[in-house]
Amino acid sequence: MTDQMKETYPLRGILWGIMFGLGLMVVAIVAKVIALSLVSALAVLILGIAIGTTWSMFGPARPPKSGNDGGPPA
Amino acid sequence: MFQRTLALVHRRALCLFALSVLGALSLTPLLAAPNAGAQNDNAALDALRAEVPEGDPGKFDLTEASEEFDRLVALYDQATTGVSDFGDGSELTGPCGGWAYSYDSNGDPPIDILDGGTAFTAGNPFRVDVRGLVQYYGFAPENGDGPRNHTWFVKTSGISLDKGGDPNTNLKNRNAGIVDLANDLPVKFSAKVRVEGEMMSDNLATCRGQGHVDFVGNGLTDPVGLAGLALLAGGLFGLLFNARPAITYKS
Repeated sequence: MTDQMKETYPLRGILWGIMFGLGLMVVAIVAKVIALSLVSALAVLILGIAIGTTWSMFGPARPPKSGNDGGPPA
Repeated sequence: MFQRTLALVHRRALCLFALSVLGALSLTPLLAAPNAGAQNDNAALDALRAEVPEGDPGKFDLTEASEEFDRLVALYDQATTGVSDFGDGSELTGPCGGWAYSYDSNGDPPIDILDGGTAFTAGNPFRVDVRGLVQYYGFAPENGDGPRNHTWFVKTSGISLDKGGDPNTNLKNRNAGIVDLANDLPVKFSAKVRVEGEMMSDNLATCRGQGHVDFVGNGLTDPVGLAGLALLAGGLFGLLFNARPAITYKS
Protein backbone atom coordinates (compact mmCIF):
# COMPACT_ATOMS: atom_id res chain seq x y z
CA MET A 1 0.00 0.00 0.00
CA THR A 2 1.32 3.47 -0.84
CA ASP A 3 0.54 6.80 0.77
CA GLN A 4 1.11 10.26 -0.53
CA MET A 5 3.18 12.55 1.60
CA LYS A 6 4.42 16.12 1.25
CA GLU A 7 8.19 16.41 1.13
CA THR A 8 9.81 19.78 1.82
CA TYR A 9 13.28 21.13 1.03
CA PRO A 10 14.14 23.85 3.56
CA LEU A 11 17.87 23.75 2.83
CA ARG A 12 17.22 24.35 -0.86
CA GLY A 13 14.87 27.13 0.14
CA ILE A 14 17.58 28.80 2.19
CA LEU A 15 20.20 28.51 -0.54
CA TRP A 16 17.96 29.72 -3.34
CA GLY A 17 16.63 32.34 -0.94
CA ILE A 18 20.15 33.69 -0.44
CA MET A 19 20.54 34.06 -4.19
CA PHE A 20 17.07 35.59 -4.51
CA GLY A 21 17.79 37.92 -1.58
CA LEU A 22 21.11 39.05 -3.02
CA GLY A 23 19.44 39.84 -6.33
CA LEU A 24 16.60 41.63 -4.58
CA MET A 25 19.11 43.61 -2.53
CA VAL A 26 21.13 44.76 -5.55
CA VAL A 27 18.04 45.61 -7.58
CA ALA A 28 16.51 47.54 -4.67
CA ILE A 29 19.72 49.53 -4.16
CA VAL A 30 20.24 50.25 -7.85
CA ALA A 31 16.58 51.20 -8.27
CA LYS A 32 17.03 53.40 -5.17
CA VAL A 33 14.15 51.77 -3.35
CA ILE A 34 16.54 51.54 -0.41
CA ALA A 35 19.74 53.40 0.41
CA LEU A 36 23.09 51.66 0.21
CA SER A 37 23.68 50.81 3.85
CA LEU A 38 24.61 47.72 5.78
CA VAL A 39 21.37 47.59 7.74
CA SER A 40 18.99 47.96 4.81
CA ALA A 41 21.03 45.60 2.62
CA LEU A 42 21.03 42.91 5.29
CA ALA A 43 17.33 43.42 5.90
CA VAL A 44 16.53 42.75 2.24
CA LEU A 45 18.86 39.74 2.17
CA ILE A 46 17.16 38.27 5.23
CA LEU A 47 13.79 38.97 3.64
CA GLY A 48 14.86 36.96 0.61
CA ILE A 49 16.01 34.07 2.77
CA ALA A 50 12.75 34.17 4.70
CA ILE A 51 10.76 34.10 1.47
CA GLY A 52 12.80 31.16 0.19
CA THR A 53 12.47 29.19 3.40
CA THR A 54 8.75 29.88 3.72
CA TRP A 55 8.17 28.93 0.11
CA SER A 56 10.08 25.69 0.49
CA MET A 57 8.13 24.75 3.59
CA PHE A 58 4.63 26.00 2.89
CA GLY A 59 4.46 26.61 -0.85
CA PRO A 60 1.99 24.67 -3.00
CA ALA A 61 3.31 21.16 -3.48
CA ARG A 62 4.18 19.75 -6.89
CA PRO A 63 1.89 16.88 -7.83
CA PRO A 64 3.50 13.46 -8.05
CA LYS A 65 4.92 12.48 -11.37
CA SER A 66 2.95 9.93 -13.30
CA GLY A 67 4.09 7.27 -15.74
CA ASN A 68 6.84 4.74 -15.68
CA ASP A 69 9.44 6.87 -14.00
CA GLY A 70 7.45 8.60 -11.35
CA GLY A 71 4.31 6.70 -10.52
CA PRO A 72 3.55 4.91 -7.30
CA PRO A 73 5.41 1.69 -6.80
CA ALA A 74 3.46 -1.39 -7.80
CA MET B 1 47.11 76.94 -12.34
CA PHE B 2 45.96 73.65 -11.00
CA GLN B 3 47.69 73.20 -7.69
CA ARG B 4 47.67 70.32 -5.31
CA THR B 5 47.81 71.64 -1.82
CA LEU B 6 45.91 69.99 0.94
CA ALA B 7 47.17 66.58 0.03
CA LEU B 8 43.80 65.37 1.14
CA VAL B 9 42.94 64.51 -2.37
CA HIS B 10 45.53 62.42 -4.04
CA ARG B 11 45.24 58.68 -3.99
CA ARG B 12 42.32 57.05 -5.65
CA ALA B 13 39.19 58.04 -7.43
CA LEU B 14 37.00 57.04 -4.57
CA CYS B 15 39.08 59.03 -2.18
CA LEU B 16 39.07 62.00 -4.50
CA PHE B 17 35.38 61.89 -4.89
CA ALA B 18 34.54 61.32 -1.26
CA LEU B 19 36.71 64.17 -0.13
CA SER B 20 35.27 66.48 -2.67
CA VAL B 21 31.92 65.57 -1.26
CA LEU B 22 33.16 66.39 2.19
CA GLY B 23 34.45 69.68 0.93
CA ALA B 24 31.13 70.37 -0.65
CA LEU B 25 29.35 69.66 2.59
CA SER B 26 30.42 73.04 3.80
CA LEU B 27 28.53 74.56 0.93
CA THR B 28 25.44 72.85 2.20
CA PRO B 29 24.70 75.53 4.75
CA LEU B 30 25.38 78.08 2.08
CA LEU B 31 22.80 76.72 -0.27
CA ALA B 32 20.63 74.53 1.77
CA ALA B 33 18.35 76.78 3.71
CA PRO B 34 14.78 75.52 3.83
CA ASN B 35 13.59 79.11 3.47
CA ALA B 36 15.75 79.74 0.45
CA GLY B 37 12.62 80.03 -1.61
CA ALA B 38 11.56 78.93 -5.04
CA GLN B 39 13.78 79.38 -8.03
CA ASN B 40 11.83 82.18 -9.62
CA ASP B 41 10.96 84.37 -6.67
CA ASN B 42 14.30 85.07 -5.08
CA ALA B 43 16.72 87.29 -6.93
CA ALA B 44 19.57 86.53 -4.54
CA LEU B 45 19.11 82.83 -5.09
CA ASP B 46 19.08 83.38 -8.82
CA ALA B 47 22.35 85.22 -8.42
CA LEU B 48 23.71 82.21 -6.54
CA ARG B 49 22.74 79.96 -9.39
CA ALA B 50 24.36 82.31 -11.86
CA GLU B 51 27.67 81.74 -10.08
CA VAL B 52 27.75 78.12 -11.19
CA PRO B 53 29.41 77.83 -14.58
CA GLU B 54 27.56 75.94 -17.29
CA GLY B 55 28.97 73.99 -20.16
CA ASP B 56 32.58 72.92 -19.83
CA PRO B 57 33.28 73.42 -16.13
CA GLY B 58 36.91 74.27 -16.82
CA LYS B 59 39.41 74.58 -14.02
CA PHE B 60 39.61 77.02 -11.17
CA ASP B 61 42.94 78.08 -9.78
CA LEU B 62 43.07 78.48 -6.03
CA THR B 63 42.60 82.23 -6.08
CA GLU B 64 39.58 82.00 -8.33
CA ALA B 65 38.14 79.18 -6.27
CA SER B 66 38.60 81.10 -3.04
CA GLU B 67 36.97 84.18 -4.55
CA GLU B 68 34.13 81.97 -5.77
CA PHE B 69 33.65 80.72 -2.24
CA ASP B 70 33.50 84.28 -0.88
CA ARG B 71 30.95 85.26 -3.50
CA LEU B 72 28.83 82.24 -2.65
CA VAL B 73 28.94 83.12 1.03
CA ALA B 74 27.92 86.70 0.35
CA LEU B 75 25.11 85.70 -1.99
CA TYR B 76 23.89 83.09 0.43
CA ASP B 77 23.73 85.68 3.20
CA GLN B 78 21.47 87.73 0.97
CA ALA B 79 19.33 84.76 0.05
CA THR B 80 18.73 83.40 3.54
CA THR B 81 18.71 84.58 7.10
CA GLY B 82 18.77 82.94 10.48
CA VAL B 83 18.98 79.33 9.38
CA SER B 84 20.12 76.97 12.09
CA ASP B 85 18.70 73.65 10.97
CA PHE B 86 19.77 72.43 7.56
CA GLY B 87 17.78 69.25 7.57
CA ASP B 88 18.24 65.59 8.26
CA GLY B 89 21.61 63.94 7.87
CA SER B 90 23.65 66.89 6.66
CA GLU B 91 26.41 68.23 8.86
CA LEU B 92 29.87 69.76 8.81
CA THR B 93 31.88 70.82 11.85
CA GLY B 94 35.42 72.08 12.12
CA PRO B 95 37.57 74.69 10.39
CA CYS B 96 37.10 73.30 6.87
CA GLY B 97 34.87 74.24 3.99
CA GLY B 98 34.53 74.59 0.27
CA TRP B 99 32.16 74.05 -2.57
CA ALA B 100 31.44 71.48 -5.26
CA TYR B 101 29.54 71.49 -8.51
CA SER B 102 28.36 68.30 -10.13
CA TYR B 103 28.07 67.91 -13.89
CA ASP B 104 26.70 65.12 -16.02
CA SER B 105 28.53 63.63 -18.98
CA ASN B 106 27.48 66.53 -21.19
CA GLY B 107 28.60 69.16 -18.69
CA ASP B 108 25.64 71.38 -19.34
CA PRO B 109 23.96 72.35 -17.12
CA PRO B 110 25.35 71.28 -13.74
CA ILE B 111 23.06 68.64 -12.33
CA ASP B 112 23.33 69.69 -8.73
CA ILE B 113 24.30 72.01 -5.99
CA LEU B 114 21.87 74.88 -6.43
CA ASP B 115 18.32 73.77 -6.12
CA GLY B 116 16.89 76.07 -3.49
CA GLY B 117 16.15 73.25 -1.09
CA THR B 118 17.88 71.55 1.76
CA ALA B 119 20.96 69.85 0.37
CA PHE B 120 22.93 66.75 1.25
CA THR B 121 20.06 65.37 3.28
CA ALA B 122 18.35 62.03 2.85
CA GLY B 123 15.45 63.75 1.10
CA ASN B 124 17.63 65.93 -1.09
CA PRO B 125 21.00 64.26 -1.62
CA PHE B 126 23.86 65.71 -3.64
CA ARG B 127 23.39 64.24 -7.11
CA VAL B 128 26.48 62.97 -8.88
CA ASP B 129 26.56 61.47 -12.37
CA VAL B 130 28.82 58.41 -12.41
CA ARG B 131 29.75 59.36 -15.99
CA GLY B 132 30.25 63.02 -15.19
CA LEU B 133 32.51 65.40 -13.30
CA VAL B 134 32.65 66.95 -9.86
CA GLN B 135 34.43 70.26 -9.62
CA TYR B 136 35.51 71.12 -6.10
CA TYR B 137 37.36 73.51 -3.88
CA GLY B 138 38.22 72.85 -0.23
CA PHE B 139 40.13 74.55 2.55
CA ALA B 140 41.25 73.78 6.10
CA PRO B 141 41.31 76.39 7.48
CA GLU B 142 40.26 79.29 5.26
CA ASN B 143 43.09 81.46 6.63
CA GLY B 144 46.30 80.35 8.27
CA ASP B 145 48.40 77.24 8.32
CA GLY B 146 46.98 74.05 6.94
CA PRO B 147 46.78 70.75 8.81
CA ARG B 148 50.11 69.37 9.99
CA ASN B 149 50.57 65.62 10.02
CA HIS B 150 46.95 64.93 9.22
CA THR B 151 45.03 61.68 8.92
CA TRP B 152 41.59 61.19 7.44
CA PHE B 153 39.02 58.56 6.62
CA VAL B 154 35.81 58.26 4.65
CA LYS B 155 33.25 55.58 5.42
CA THR B 156 29.69 54.54 4.88
CA SER B 157 27.61 52.45 7.28
CA GLY B 158 30.68 52.00 9.43
CA ILE B 159 32.60 50.45 6.53
CA SER B 160 35.77 52.25 5.51
CA LEU B 161 35.84 53.48 1.92
CA ASP B 162 39.27 54.99 2.13
CA LYS B 163 41.72 56.54 4.54
CA GLY B 164 45.06 58.23 4.44
CA GLY B 165 47.18 61.08 5.67
CA ASP B 166 50.13 63.30 4.94
CA PRO B 167 52.76 65.21 6.93
CA ASN B 168 51.89 68.30 4.85
CA THR B 169 55.14 69.92 5.86
CA ASN B 170 54.40 72.97 3.72
CA LEU B 171 51.19 73.52 5.72
CA LYS B 172 49.17 74.05 2.59
CA ASN B 173 45.58 74.78 3.42
CA ARG B 174 43.55 74.51 0.21
CA ASN B 175 42.98 72.53 -2.93
CA ALA B 176 40.84 72.75 -6.03
CA GLY B 177 40.29 70.35 -8.86
CA ILE B 178 38.03 68.15 -10.89
CA VAL B 179 37.16 64.52 -10.27
CA ASP B 180 36.49 62.71 -13.53
CA LEU B 181 34.15 59.94 -12.46
CA ALA B 182 33.75 58.67 -16.01
CA ASN B 183 37.40 57.63 -16.04
CA ASP B 184 37.98 56.99 -12.36
CA LEU B 185 35.01 54.77 -11.52
CA PRO B 186 35.69 51.33 -13.01
CA VAL B 187 32.10 50.14 -12.52
CA LYS B 188 29.09 52.33 -13.12
CA PHE B 189 26.14 52.02 -10.78
CA SER B 190 23.23 53.85 -9.21
CA ALA B 191 22.68 54.18 -5.47
CA LYS B 192 21.90 56.53 -2.64
CA VAL B 193 24.65 56.53 -0.05
CA ARG B 194 25.22 58.19 3.30
CA VAL B 195 28.87 59.20 3.52
CA GLU B 196 30.76 60.42 6.54
CA GLY B 197 34.34 61.44 7.04
CA GLU B 198 36.80 63.00 9.39
CA MET B 199 40.19 64.70 9.25
CA MET B 200 42.44 65.04 12.27
CA SER B 201 45.74 66.88 12.53
CA ASP B 202 48.29 68.06 15.06
CA ASN B 203 47.39 71.71 14.85
CA LEU B 204 43.73 72.04 13.85
CA ALA B 205 40.43 71.07 15.36
CA THR B 206 38.92 67.90 13.90
CA CYS B 207 36.92 68.44 10.74
CA ARG B 208 33.94 66.12 10.58
CA GLY B 209 31.21 65.87 7.96
CA GLN B 210 28.36 63.69 6.82
CA GLY B 211 25.79 63.83 4.07
CA HIS B 212 23.80 61.88 1.53
CA VAL B 213 24.94 61.40 -2.06
CA ASP B 214 22.83 60.15 -4.97
CA PHE B 215 24.94 58.41 -7.61
CA VAL B 216 23.09 58.84 -10.87
CA GLY B 217 23.73 56.07 -13.37
CA ASN B 218 21.67 54.09 -15.84
CA GLY B 219 19.90 52.13 -13.13
CA LEU B 220 19.21 48.50 -13.89
CA THR B 221 20.94 48.66 -17.28
CA ASP B 222 24.33 49.35 -15.68
CA PRO B 223 26.52 46.26 -15.09
CA VAL B 224 25.69 46.19 -11.38
CA GLY B 225 21.98 46.39 -12.14
CA LEU B 226 22.20 43.61 -14.71
CA ALA B 227 24.07 41.43 -12.23
CA GLY B 228 21.35 42.05 -9.68
CA LEU B 229 18.64 41.14 -12.16
CA ALA B 230 20.50 37.92 -13.07
CA LEU B 231 20.78 36.95 -9.41
CA LEU B 232 17.13 37.75 -8.82
CA ALA B 233 16.00 35.72 -11.82
CA GLY B 234 18.26 32.80 -10.90
CA GLY B 235 17.04 32.76 -7.33
CA LEU B 236 13.42 32.93 -8.42
CA PHE B 237 13.93 30.11 -10.90
CA GLY B 238 15.53 27.95 -8.23
CA LEU B 239 12.78 28.62 -5.74
CA LEU B 240 10.05 27.82 -8.25
CA PHE B 241 11.53 24.67 -9.73
CA ASN B 242 13.95 23.26 -7.18
CA ALA B 243 12.86 24.28 -3.69
CA ARG B 244 9.10 23.81 -4.01
CA PRO B 245 7.56 21.09 -1.83
CA ALA B 246 6.58 17.92 -3.65
CA ILE B 247 4.08 15.13 -3.17
CA THR B 248 5.81 11.80 -3.05
CA TYR B 249 4.71 8.24 -2.53
CA LYS B 250 5.64 6.29 0.52
CA SER B 251 4.95 2.62 0.87
